Amino acid sequence: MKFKIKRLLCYVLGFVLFYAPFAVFQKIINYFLTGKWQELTIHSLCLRIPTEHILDGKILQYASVSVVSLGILLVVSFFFGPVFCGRLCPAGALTEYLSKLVPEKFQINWRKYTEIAPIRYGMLAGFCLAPFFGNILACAYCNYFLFDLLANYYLHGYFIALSSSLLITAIMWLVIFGLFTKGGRGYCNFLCPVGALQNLVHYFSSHLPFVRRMYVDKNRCIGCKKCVQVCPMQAMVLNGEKADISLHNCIICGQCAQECSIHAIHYGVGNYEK
Amino acid sequence: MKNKFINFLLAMGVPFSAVFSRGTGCSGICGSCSFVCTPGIFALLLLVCKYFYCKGKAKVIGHA
Repeated sequence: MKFKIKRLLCYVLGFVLFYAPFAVFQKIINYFLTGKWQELTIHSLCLRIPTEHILDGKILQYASVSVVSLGILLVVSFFFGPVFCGRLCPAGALTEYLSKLVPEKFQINWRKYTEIAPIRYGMLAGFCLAPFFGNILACAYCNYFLFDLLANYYLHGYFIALSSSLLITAIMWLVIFGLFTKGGRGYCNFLCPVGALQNLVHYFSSHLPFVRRMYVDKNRCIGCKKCVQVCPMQAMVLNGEKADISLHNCIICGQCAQECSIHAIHYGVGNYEK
Repeated sequence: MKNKFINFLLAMGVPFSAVFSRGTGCSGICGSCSFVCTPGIFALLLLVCKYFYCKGKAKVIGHA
């Protein structure tokens, strides 16, 4: 119970840090860069536009707050894993909490039907290569923006007409990959390029001895599957009766460690080869 | 491995599907479009096809 409340509070903190009317994080970065304290929204943080232009070299032409934020995000991912997704992103958390409203028998466990990592990284590759062909998709499929519209509608009555691509994003994010997906994080798994980029960085950095990551103590694991059932990202798999973590989509939410009754799952450095 | 590669290429095609849907003056508002939403539809189709393919395959194996 304490863990669940702590997690919820982290997402509330995420909202205060990144979304209007507070957007404290952007304001601080902006203050350091320009010396001015300005009213900012999630758009000034936008992590998707610099991600989209990471290969074509235009990344530095965009708003410096975004580029600095993406840099911070990737450094954090390198050393601590994608904690932004697992502990702070309220857009991802919303669908995770929404999915608890639908009984599990009506939900799709995508891992049973397809491998997640190739689709995740394929989307990321296409997303980063699209600007070479004149396509800009960062705003077309943005659940951060949709979350901003929903949250600020209730706070300020601010709303705009939804574009066709945003309508599809709403259907996919909230309904198909939210309500009717086991764990409620189908959008994070398949369509979020920022999450995929963080996991790619984390996958390579996790082999270094000083990097923090989730690991399973194989000597203690009894293969009870509790962690597999609670993982919202479907990142836990049973490998020869022992739990295994897929670093391609683990978001360090800590639910598996919390649920493990024999404390075989830990977040830390070093001895992950046990 | 072959499956992984096919999935990777198909997923990479999701953002690329917008290449074929640009350039007819879409305002982004539903109804006036040049199918700016195609990547989303393509992604959805890809996953729905995988879902029904696996369901169908499991049924065939079950009958055999």
